[in-house]
Amino acid sequence: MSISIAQCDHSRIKPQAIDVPLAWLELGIGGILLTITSYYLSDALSLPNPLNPNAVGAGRFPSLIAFATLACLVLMLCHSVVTLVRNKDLKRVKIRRPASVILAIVVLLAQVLLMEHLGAVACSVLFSMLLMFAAGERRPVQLLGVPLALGLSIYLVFTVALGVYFP
Amino acid sequence: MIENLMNGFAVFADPLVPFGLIVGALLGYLIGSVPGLGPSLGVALLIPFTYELSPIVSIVTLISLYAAAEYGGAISAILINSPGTAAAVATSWDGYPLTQQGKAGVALNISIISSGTGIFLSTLFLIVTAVPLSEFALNFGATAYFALALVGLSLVSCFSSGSALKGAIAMGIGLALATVGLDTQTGVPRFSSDPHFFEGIPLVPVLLGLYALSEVLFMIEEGPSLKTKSQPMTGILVVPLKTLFKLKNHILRSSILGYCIGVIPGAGASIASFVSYAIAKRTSKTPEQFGKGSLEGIAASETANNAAVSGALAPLLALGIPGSPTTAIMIGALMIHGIQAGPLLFTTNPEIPYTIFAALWISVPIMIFIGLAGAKLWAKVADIPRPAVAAIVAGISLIGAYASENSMFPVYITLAFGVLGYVLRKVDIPTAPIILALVLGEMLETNFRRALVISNGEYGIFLDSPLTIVLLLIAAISFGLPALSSVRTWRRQRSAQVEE
Repeated sequence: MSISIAQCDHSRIKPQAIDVPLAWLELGIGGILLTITSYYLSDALSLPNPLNPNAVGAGRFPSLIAFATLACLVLMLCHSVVTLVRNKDLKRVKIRRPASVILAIVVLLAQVLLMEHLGAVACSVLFSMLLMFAAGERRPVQLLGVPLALGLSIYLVFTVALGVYFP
Repeated sequence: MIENLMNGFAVFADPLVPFGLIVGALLGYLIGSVPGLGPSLGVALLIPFTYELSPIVSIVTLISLYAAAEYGGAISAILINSPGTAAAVATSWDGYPLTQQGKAGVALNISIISSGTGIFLSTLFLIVTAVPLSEFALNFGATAYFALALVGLSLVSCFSSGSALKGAIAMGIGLALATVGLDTQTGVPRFSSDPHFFEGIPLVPVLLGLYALSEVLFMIEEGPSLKTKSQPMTGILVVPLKTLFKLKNHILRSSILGYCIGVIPGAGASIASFVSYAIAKRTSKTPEQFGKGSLEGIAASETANNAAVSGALAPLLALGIPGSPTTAIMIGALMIHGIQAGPLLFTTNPEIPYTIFAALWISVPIMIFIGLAGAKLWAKVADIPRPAVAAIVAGISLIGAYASENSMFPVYITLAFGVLGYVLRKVDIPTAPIILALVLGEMLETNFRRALVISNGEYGIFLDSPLTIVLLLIAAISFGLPALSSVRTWRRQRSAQVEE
């Protein structure tokens, strides 16, 4: 698996990018989906049978879905393996600014976890600012103005106009 | 029908309804003009604002946003060569060259008027076809409904971006998600004993996660956007009647084509605009102008992609089958208000479909006016810094998810599906089939089980009715064709390698 990190040679480090063959990503994500689907299938098969022998149990339809999805996943994984073995015309996936994407996910997670404690509107203002920062915004007026306007709009539209009460 | 249609127009006497239509149109233009945001995301983001509104006001606002976002996509396509929606890509091929020639105003004018005409004509087709189709669908049995849902899903997977195999995987994920919760027939909890999941996985947070939050992560990845150069708008307010008259055949043909393609589940506005553009080029007297600034190209593409909006509404209203991700989201919006889309809608809640028809027609002059008068503003909208758009979309998504049930549970779901959507899209697994399968899953399973109970467990019941057989054949073909073409391509490549 080759992951190349593109980096600028100047004094200021420019955003990095992860460049990975699609087939490797397919193997990784496909493997995770395969595990989850297998777990789903075993759960579906363990669901109780119906009392009426002619009726269809709660697990029949999910089992059919699981079998079909597993078949598709196995096909995708086989295709990825063949593509990697041939090692020709590998389609690549670029993840630009991976650190920013991870930071954004952390910011969103923090916003969700702290929403009940800090208050939904206050959280929106604070974490919107951090999210904009993660997205590359550095102008102070934008960093302050947009989150404040967003918080005010959320309060006016949801709480005042629509009567939704937030924690 | 005429009486019902009149009632649909009469609804607009309530000032909230036209207000909703105007707000929807403004938001639609706003969202359509920003590259990366499209009608699906717009409708998903607007749903939380409609919880407290009446079903009529909600649906009018959503429909108006849907149509205007398709219009709006052309603005950034023409002015900065960055289509706001996938359906506006073909528009940019001729729109941007015209902008470079200093004719941005003329290009915008033609695109907006063609879009309006496309909506107007296709709504007429919608009225003529949806009502008889819903009456026909009233005779459908369990097997026909099962097959119909399968056709919808297979076509969506087949037409999805990326490979058909990945479309099928996405469909499997969506169907699996649809089975989570208490089994409606036996009361057994499936796949989770957590009471939060007993009513199934809520649709709105999934929509907000897959469409809005995952897009936020893509915006973060892109980083800050560059400022675009403003373009002169000369000619924007001069309606070129002579030119429009010359384009009449293209506009009429593209309306029919756009509507017919829009009806096919999964095909949607982008395929409609590409097909229409290709046919316009083939039938044009000046095909050499296409790609260099042809008004025929703009008219064909814009008429078709807007006509597809009405087309996508036909299976939604008449059969309860969403034809596109946006209409799947629309089904979610109707469900929130306790309204079930499908053939019975025309008898149980006739005010809903007929108000939609009226709203589509009334929206035409309003959208043309807003589009032409506000062209300069819409052009500037494309310049809103990407980090600001990301923060606004993320904020509304999480707050909207909370407002959907007044609890934190949907907020967790939104975040989880936002990350999942980002990961899946990176591997080219489309998210549209997940939504459609989640919406259609219950219908598919209920009718599958009902049919088997009727037949005492005999699968032969699915081959008893000619209609069901035809529908199952269509589903099989749409699943099988992409696989066959993949095998053929693989064989061709292999034989080419052997020859080398």
